[in-house]
Amino acid sequence: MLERNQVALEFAAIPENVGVSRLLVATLAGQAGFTIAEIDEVKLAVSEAVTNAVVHGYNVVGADPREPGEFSAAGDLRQPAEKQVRVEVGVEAGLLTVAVIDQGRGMEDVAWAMQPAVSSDPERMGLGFAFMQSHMDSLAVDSAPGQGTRVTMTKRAGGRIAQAAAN
Amino acid sequence: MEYERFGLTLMLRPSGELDLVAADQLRQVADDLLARGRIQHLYVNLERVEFLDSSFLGALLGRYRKVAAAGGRMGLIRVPASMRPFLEAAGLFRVLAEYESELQALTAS
Repeated sequence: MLERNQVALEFAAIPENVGVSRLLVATLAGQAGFTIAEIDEVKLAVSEAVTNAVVHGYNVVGADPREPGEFSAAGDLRQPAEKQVRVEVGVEAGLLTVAVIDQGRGMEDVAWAMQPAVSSDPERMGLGFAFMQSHMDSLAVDSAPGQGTRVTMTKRAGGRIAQAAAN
Repeated sequence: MEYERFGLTLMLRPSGELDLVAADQLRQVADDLLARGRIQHLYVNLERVEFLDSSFLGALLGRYRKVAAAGGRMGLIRVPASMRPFLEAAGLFRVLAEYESELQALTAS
C-alpha cells in the first residue's frame, strides 16, 4: 500500500477525457488501499465533477445560470484545444484529495447549482453535485462568473468503518 | 454502441463505462430511429456495463420521455447488483421496467 502519492493531469475539455480522469483517480485510490466499492464511489464523484467542467465550464450558455443554455445534447461538445481541465489527485495516509479545476465560465450562484435536480439542461439530471456529496466525505466548490470553478473532494479509505469504530 | 432491432423494438447492448460519450451515442442511435418511426420500444441490456454516471442516466430518462410520449415501452435488462442502489437513488425504477432477460423484455406487453 502506498502511503503517499501525488499526480496532476491537464487535458483538453472533451467528453473522451472524462474516462481518462476516472482511470487516474481509480489508480491512485487503489494504490492507497481503497476497496473496490470505495473506488467505484470515487470514480462516480470524479466523473460528475469532470463532466461538469466539460459541459458547463466551457459551453457557451446564457450568463445567468438559471437561463436554459444553448447547450444541447446533440450539440458539439468539442472545445478548442486550449480549453483545459486540470485534475489534481493526492493521497496521504489513506486520505484521498481530488481537485477538478477549469477556467470556464464559472457560476454566480453555487448554492443554487448544487441543489439536487437543478440543471441548466433538461437532458441532464442535475444530480452531479448530489452524487459527489453522497459518495465522498467532503465537497467544496469555489466558483465565480468568468473565474472558472474549482471542486475539491476528499475521501478516507475505510472511512465508514473507522468512523463507526470511533463512535 | 451495439444494438439490434426486433421489429419496432430496439435492443441496446452497451458495454464498459457509460458516461458523457456513451450518452451521446445512445441519443444518436435511439433518436434517429425514433424520429423516423423505425422503432417504438427501447430496451437497454446493462449486463456488460461496469460503470455509469448521471450523464448516461440523464440520456436514459430523456429517451424514456420520447418513447413514452410516442406510446412505446422502455425498460432495463440485467441490471448489475452493484449499480442497483445508485439507479434507485436516481429514481430510475419509478419509470423504467426491469427484466431478467432480453427474451422476457421482448415478450412483455
